[in-house]
Amino acid sequence: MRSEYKAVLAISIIVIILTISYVTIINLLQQPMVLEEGEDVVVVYTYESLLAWGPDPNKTYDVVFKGFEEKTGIRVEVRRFEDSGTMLATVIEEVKSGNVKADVVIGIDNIQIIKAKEEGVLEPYTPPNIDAVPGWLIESYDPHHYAIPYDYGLIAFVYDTEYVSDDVMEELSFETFYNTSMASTLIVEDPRTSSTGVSFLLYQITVYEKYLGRDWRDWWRNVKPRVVSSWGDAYDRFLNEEYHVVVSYATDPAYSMLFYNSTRYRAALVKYDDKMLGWLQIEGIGLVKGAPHKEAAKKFIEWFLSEEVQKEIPLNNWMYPANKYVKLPDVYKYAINMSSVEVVNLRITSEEIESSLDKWIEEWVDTISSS
Amino acid sequence: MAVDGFIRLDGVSKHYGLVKAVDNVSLNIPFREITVILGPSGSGKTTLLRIIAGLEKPDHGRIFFGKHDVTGKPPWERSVSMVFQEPALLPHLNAFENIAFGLEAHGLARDVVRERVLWASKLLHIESLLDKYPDQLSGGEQQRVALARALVVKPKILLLDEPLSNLDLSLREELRIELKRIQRETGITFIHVTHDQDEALELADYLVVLYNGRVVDYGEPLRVYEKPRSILAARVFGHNIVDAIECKEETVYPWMSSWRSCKGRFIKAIIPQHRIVIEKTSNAPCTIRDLVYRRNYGLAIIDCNGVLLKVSINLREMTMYSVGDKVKPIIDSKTIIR
Amino acid sequence: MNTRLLIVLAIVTLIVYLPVVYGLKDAFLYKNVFTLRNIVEVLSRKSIQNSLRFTFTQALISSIIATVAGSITAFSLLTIGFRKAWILRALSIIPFMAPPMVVVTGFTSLYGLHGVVSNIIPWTKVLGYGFWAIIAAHAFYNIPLSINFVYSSLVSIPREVVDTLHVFGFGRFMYVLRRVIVPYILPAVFSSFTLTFIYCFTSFAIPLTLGGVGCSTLEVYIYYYYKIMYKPGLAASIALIQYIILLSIVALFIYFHGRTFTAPIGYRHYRLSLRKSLKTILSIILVIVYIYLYAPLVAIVYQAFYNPYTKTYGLEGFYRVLQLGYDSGLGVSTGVVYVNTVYYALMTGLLAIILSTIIVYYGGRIVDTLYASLLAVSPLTLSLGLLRTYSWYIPSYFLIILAHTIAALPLTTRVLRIGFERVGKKYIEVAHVLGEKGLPLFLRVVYPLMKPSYLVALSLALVVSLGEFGATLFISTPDTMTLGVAIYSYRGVRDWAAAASAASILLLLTASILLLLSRRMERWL
Repeated sequence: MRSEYKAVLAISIIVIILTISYVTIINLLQQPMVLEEGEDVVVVYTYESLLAWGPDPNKTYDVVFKGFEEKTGIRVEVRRFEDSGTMLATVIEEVKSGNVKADVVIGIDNIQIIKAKEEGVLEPYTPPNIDAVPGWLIESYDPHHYAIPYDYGLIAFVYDTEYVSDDVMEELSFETFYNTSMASTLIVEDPRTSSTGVSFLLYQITVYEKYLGRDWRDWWRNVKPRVVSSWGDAYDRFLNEEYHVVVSYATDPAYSMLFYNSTRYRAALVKYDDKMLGWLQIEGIGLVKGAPHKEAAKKFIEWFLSEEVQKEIPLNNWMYPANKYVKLPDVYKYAINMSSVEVVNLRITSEEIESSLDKWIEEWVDTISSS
Repeated sequence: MAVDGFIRLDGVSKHYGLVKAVDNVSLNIPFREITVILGPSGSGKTTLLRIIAGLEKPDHGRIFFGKHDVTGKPPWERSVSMVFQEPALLPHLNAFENIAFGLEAHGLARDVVRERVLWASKLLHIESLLDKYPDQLSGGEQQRVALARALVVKPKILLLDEPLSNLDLSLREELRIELKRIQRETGITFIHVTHDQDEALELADYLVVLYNGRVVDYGEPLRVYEKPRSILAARVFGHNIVDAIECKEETVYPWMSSWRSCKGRFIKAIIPQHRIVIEKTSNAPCTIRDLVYRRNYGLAIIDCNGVLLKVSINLREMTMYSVGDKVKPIIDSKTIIR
Repeated sequence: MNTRLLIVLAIVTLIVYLPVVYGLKDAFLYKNVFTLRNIVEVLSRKSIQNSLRFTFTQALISSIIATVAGSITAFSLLTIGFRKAWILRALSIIPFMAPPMVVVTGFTSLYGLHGVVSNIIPWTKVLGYGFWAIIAAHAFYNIPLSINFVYSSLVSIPREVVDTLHVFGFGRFMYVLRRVIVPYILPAVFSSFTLTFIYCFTSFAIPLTLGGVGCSTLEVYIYYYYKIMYKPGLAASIALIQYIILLSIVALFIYFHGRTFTAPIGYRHYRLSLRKSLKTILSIILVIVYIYLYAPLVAIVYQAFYNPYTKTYGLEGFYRVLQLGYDSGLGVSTGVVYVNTVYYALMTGLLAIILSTIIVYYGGRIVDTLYASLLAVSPLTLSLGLLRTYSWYIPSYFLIILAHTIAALPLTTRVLRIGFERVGKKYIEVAHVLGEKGLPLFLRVVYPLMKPSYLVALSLALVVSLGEFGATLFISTPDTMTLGVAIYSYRGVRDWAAAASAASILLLLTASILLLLSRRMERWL
């Protein structure tokens, strides 16, 4: 039996040595593995590319997260997820299993909020600076304050002026794409895998069903645009000049102005009865139900809505900040001006989205696939 | 384990699917002797040996080593050792380490192991080969190492499964003598399985004949050979099996003139080939069909009225005969099976 | 057998399968009530039915193409001669281990709209997007499987058989092929076919990115229902259906793999004399296949040096990936990522080897099938199950190791099973009679005779861990990020050069491990 014990011992020693060296090295590289207990920490869950699009993401992070630490003495642990869908799914799992690690979630959009409320993963919280957020925004998002909007984006058709003329896009309507040459330049995201895609689909459905009173499927039947799984993929192909119109956000022209000093890429919304119709993708920040560090979380939410943070939004998240007191940077004059847009989100209720989205997407798959 | 007594097999059977490999075998194998189990291929002898070793479980029956019932016991709990047809030396160990294997399994001290390995290697005359690896050894040398490996653990019982079958003739004969010597020296009970009659007769203190999974004869080797108790045993030995009639204390054979007229019981006569002598006579009933040279003797195949007999002939006398000669068989001794 | 160790096996199986059960249990729950409505709902949806049909079809076609191409290539390896073939064999495994996201990029840059190859050879554009792109990418991934399986078997044909045919004047190649070679390698062909089928069936990233809306496999729907719609009941139902369907394929795989011929220890290889023209054709095929396998990898490495925004070449990608400090795009220090990757790989290697040994030693065909069937579990479901089952008690880095181990187990158990059977009963019986059993028997007799298999199993486990992406992405936090996930994160912040650099490093690591360990293994054969 000697060799039996020897072998088990040898392997155990190897495992222990490996693990100890691993933990030591990790600690040396100064990434704490274990979250400390107690109130001096707040755990934030968000999606990967939050505030990551600016000229100096590291600096922005310092402003937002280290800034909070310096101000309150509370350490911020940020956990980033591939996308907001994964984030939400994880939070739901945590709340359901009773093993809640997250305090704050950043990035629940106006479609996910429905699910989040249904699964009961958020606790309503009204921060002291709630008035900085416009009432209509809160109405469109969640009047019960389960989460508070921190920014919003406008779904738009972003086009390449080298291939598509401004004149055409000035008078853009959905039917513009019924023209085959236009249709072949369009690239769209898959609502099954991209939140941009879902927003766009809802945009199109709301305009057709609620505004025009038509069957939304007609558009897809007639246009049959190229569909890809993520916004990133779509945008890359657009930049690569494979496609010349991409479903993206109205702030993109400002982005290309800032980074490339170019007005080549512009944004357009559809126009009906001389009115620009737009769909907002609103992102919110919320307090997780059963958060282990509730008070710290509340402070963080308040902080995130403050001007200090909100002023970073335009140039780093490329969305419109929720805080109405924040002035938009100059470069935003290249983006679409919100005041000239009629927002169609309120024409459709959350209940309707909740009950019909699944069916719509199913029909969408069917419509798109039958060619 | 009991010191003296018998290894008892009691109604042991094993089948594979529809085939009965071992069929209701009951034996008493004496300790401290060489028992040979003789049988043709497919007779179940290997299976039987493996059951004794504990490598197979019998479907029915029990096995006793002396007073102890070992039927359910795995091989490592029986005091047996085994040598196979292929040496099966572990290729990654040298001869010394191979031999030492069983000793180290029992956790013996290094110097004891060394002592015993040297003893076993001396017994088998392989001292000079100890640091060689199996692929550097010839077949015979490997088999010796395998034997040493089996003996060094000082088992009560050594099982040998045709270990010499793959070796060439001279080596085989040499090792046979060695085996006997080793058994006498060590006093270990040998159970040796083979299909080679010469080997069986040379080695056995106690002979068991197996055919189709059944024991067809057993006992003192010479008796079993000369006067087998069953036709199947005779068949194993290749004896002449002849129809005959028992006629008033005389055995009448088909080539005899009284064959038609004799009234008596029909029997089978088993006549070993060295128990017939042939005589050239003019009125002979038999003709020589063939003359064959074996190593130490000659064989004449004679046709007697349709019955073929095998007759051993002294090599010196072979030259006296030719094919076609008329000869008369004189039967020295026979066994009668009714 | 030994009851004590049977209990160990049972515990191991429980540890491995509990997450599977926990992940799949959603299929039967609707608002916390046990019900079958999820499954019924899922099966009645047209989109799922179409997806099922599509998944099956693409898996079938991909498998056929990959198996045929791989088998012919395996044959071509014969023309090189056994000594030199090991390099090509080892190298062929690298495409198998390449991260899917990265492969997609490679494919697009080669065969896409502005692809390098498609600009020269226009008809290859069909490989850049759509149904055939998916097939082509799947073939890319799985040809190495057939190459290795079939070659192993091909090279194990007993020399005497081939010699006999030569002696009797049946040297004509086609005859030898038909009568001797094909029957011998058929089990290997079928086993690689079934394994390829399973991989293609559960494929996710490739159909998602290279295919259109109509090209959604069941995995895509699992992803969708879980992550976007958060309807775990439906997601789990699909995963369950997929699992059941694939169980039969897994059983087939085990069956064929068990019947594959492998050379016994100390085997000497035959020489097959081929006509010169045949040799030339085979060599050309060999070159073409390897170019096909390596072109996307070369494209990836190329991308590491190229910045598509500024359209310049440079080393910025590598600089970013090799600096060990904090990287905001990742949310962690890059140094930590490397340490994680190496640590998880080593631990996975250890754990997979130990578990596989226990499984192989005390299991039988049913146990083998059970463990191989882990391949049929959706990585998403598995990760979810792991989190649900263990995240209370186990730090997340161990969860990742467990996920990697589960991914490696099907492969390592097969390798060790074959190795174990090659040892043969004889040696074990000898040891039993001499009084050795259990663990000491294993250490003194079985393991030494199985060393090459252990080396192969270890290298496979390491490489699987390095390349594992799906489950790790799900379970990992920034602190526990691996290089594979980092690639994905770099892409998330649109740093293609960094992503490609990280991918290149990963490929380099994979290649080194495979080549190093293959080299040592060949010596033992």
